[in-house]
Amino acid sequence: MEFLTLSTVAQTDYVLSGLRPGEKGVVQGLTGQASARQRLFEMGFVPGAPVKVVRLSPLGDPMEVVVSGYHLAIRRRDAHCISLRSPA
Amino acid sequence: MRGAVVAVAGNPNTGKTEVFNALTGLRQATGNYPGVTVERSMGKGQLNGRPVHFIDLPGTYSLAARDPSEQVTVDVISGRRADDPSVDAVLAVADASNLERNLYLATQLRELGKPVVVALNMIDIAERRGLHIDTEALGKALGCTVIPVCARKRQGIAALRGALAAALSNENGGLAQPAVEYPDELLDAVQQAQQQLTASGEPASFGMALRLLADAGGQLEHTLLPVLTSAGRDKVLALREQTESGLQDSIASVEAQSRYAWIRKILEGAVQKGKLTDRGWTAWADAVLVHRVAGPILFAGIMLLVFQAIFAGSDPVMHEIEHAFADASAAVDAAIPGEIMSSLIAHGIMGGVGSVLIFLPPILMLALFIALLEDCGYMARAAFIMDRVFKWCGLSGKSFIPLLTGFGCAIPAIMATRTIESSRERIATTLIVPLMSCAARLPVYALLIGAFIPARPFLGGILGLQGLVLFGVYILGLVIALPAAWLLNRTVLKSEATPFLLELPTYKAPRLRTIGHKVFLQGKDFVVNAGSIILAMTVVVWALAFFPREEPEPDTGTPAVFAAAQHQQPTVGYAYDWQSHGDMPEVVPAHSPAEEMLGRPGQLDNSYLGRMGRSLEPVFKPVGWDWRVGTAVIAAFPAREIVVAAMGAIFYLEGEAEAGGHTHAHSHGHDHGHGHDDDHHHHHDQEGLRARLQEATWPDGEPLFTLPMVAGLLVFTALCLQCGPTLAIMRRTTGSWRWPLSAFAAMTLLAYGGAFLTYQLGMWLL
Repeated sequence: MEFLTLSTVAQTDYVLSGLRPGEKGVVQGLTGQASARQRLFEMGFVPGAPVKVVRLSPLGDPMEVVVSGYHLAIRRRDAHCISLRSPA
Repeated sequence: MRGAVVAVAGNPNTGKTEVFNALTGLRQATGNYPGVTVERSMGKGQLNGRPVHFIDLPGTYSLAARDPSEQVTVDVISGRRADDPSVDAVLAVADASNLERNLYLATQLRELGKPVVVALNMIDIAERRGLHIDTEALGKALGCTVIPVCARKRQGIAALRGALAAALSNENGGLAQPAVEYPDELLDAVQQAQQQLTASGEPASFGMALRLLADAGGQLEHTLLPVLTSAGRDKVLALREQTESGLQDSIASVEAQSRYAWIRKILEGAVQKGKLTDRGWTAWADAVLVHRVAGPILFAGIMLLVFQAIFAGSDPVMHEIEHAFADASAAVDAAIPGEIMSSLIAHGIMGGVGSVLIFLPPILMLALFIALLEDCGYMARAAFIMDRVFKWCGLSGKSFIPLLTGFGCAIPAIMATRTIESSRERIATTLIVPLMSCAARLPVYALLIGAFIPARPFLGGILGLQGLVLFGVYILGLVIALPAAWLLNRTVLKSEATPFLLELPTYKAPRLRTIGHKVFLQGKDFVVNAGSIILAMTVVVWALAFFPREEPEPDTGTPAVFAAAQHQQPTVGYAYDWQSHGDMPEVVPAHSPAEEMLGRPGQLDNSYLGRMGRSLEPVFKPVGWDWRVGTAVIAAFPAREIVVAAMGAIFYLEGEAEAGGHTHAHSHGHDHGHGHDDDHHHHHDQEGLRARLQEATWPDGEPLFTLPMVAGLLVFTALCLQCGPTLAIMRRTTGSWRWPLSAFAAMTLLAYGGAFLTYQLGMWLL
């Protein structure tokens, strides 16, 4: 039981903002306000979509990611709302 | 309106405007949608020899609208805007090499009940990247015609015209059923919501009903729910709740997932991917241009080059315009009989036209560079690099270029805010741009600092006190601007936080034609829309300084302030001259304002402007001004640099009067009106004005220009919105007088408060 809780925490901690340049993941779900979630959905962060972090801005934020086949800058604060699972 | 209407919609960075240009040419008119800060472009074209109107809608990624400006697209297409003609067909422009996300909007557009034609733009780039798109299969799946085009090269435009003509002649209009496969619960709910819309006489397309259900808290809900019957309203809200509990997810989420799933499915059948699917040389370019170390250095270098080019390029032209207008107005003044008429034409009207045209060189230069940077794709990188600097105050990296431009001139800077998509950020940036110390403030700073701040050296002569004070007033605007933006974003502009998502498109070679087009439209827009307001303001203030005429003297009609203002206007270049030469700039350009001042002794004092100054003296007292300084400040509200000329006018004449009978003003009282008599002009150079100000006293003999008063006046100049053209351009870009007038009031209070604090603190300390 205790192990399960820990792994759940680990799971929710696996978010887009935690990836380093070059790392990949698959969108699992979105958290946060409904309108913010909707915007992220529309831009291609739908469950199952593969994402990859390309680089960070020279000042460390925002980050450049590839999603749905195009490149997008997203702030860490917003990327924190995108939970991932590891690519199969 | 005669002829059919086609709305052109699409994602940003799809070359949508290029497609629009290809269909319409230069027959375009721009304006604002009433009440929102959205640019409205209409163009005329022909399809099969019949006239057709095209509407270029703002670029958007989705039809879900969170604020009124995003609502424009849905409203225009659905015919919900009374001021726009009803749309007969929709042209959805999509980037052929990025179909997955582009078709998201296209499928939404397809659900609004109008015939849709999809233009796959930049098909050449997609093919070069090895994408083979079966447009027929794609069209079949979408239920509309799909035409591959390359608008940059004007390829595929004829086929596109044919498809649009066919769509317009199709009597069935759009398809009622969506192409996307949605869960049955959602389809049922949308159908029921459509019935509610029909019952209220609202456009009841599938897309409209879906938007109403999906976008909880969105803009459509705000505008549409109140017009439904109360039963209808309850029904829609109940439907939403039922459906979401049935789906165990929000409708917005299900919509997005269904759409993307369907798009991926049809693209699998319609698109063959070759080997070369990556971004080609964009990846290489970005490795350098947004590199951790090289990126910011290159960015600073590019900005430096751009701004150097803008000011170096526009400065000589501005001087030419300035001289041409000064000469022409002198000639007109002399040639036209009748005091009032000649002054109105020479100084009111020509002054106004001159102060419109004088802004054109920097506007066109900046428009050119912005178009270049946008068109090639670098603009998004600049925002990517600078974003962190602006994030904390609710702005983004996109505010950087307008704010930087503001240090030269607020007019092109505010025009540059058009590149900011979020209307909240655009308004916030527009409102703080005037706090940047523009070049027109420099003559004022230079006069006051030169006359009253001692030239005390610091750090062994590397820094001087004068330079430090000048630096201080420049920093002051910036230091207040960003917290002001922070405050605005938390008060009047407060809205739900939206994620900052910035597409980083592939780099493209800029097209001369597209850029020329953008620059031309911006220049035209400024002259036509802002120019008329600037002209009107100039004439009004001319009249205030000119009337009443108590003792008309023949042919002397030169409201002092105005004659001087014409020679003072073009100051955008001075900031750079000063920086490169390391000296204080010449305050008095080409002709000395003081020379013109003597044209009309006592006129300014007696004018409505002077009377205003006198009656407002109680207001000026707490900041240490007498009525003379106050009048000069009021006279400078249309253009801040006028304050130098106005002070010259007032203090010279005062001085002459006090000095007794042998003064120029009195002894030459009847011949100086010719105004170009070199004989007595050279007495009144800047040294003279400085000396006059240094000698000026209150009636009790106390010196007027004390250090605290001068410091307060500097603060006032730094913070006050004394610029008519800025107000005009603010009205133009925000679409109403509400923002410019609020900004004017707020900045006047801020400037007065700042001057008050500075003066009082200074008096207490000294």
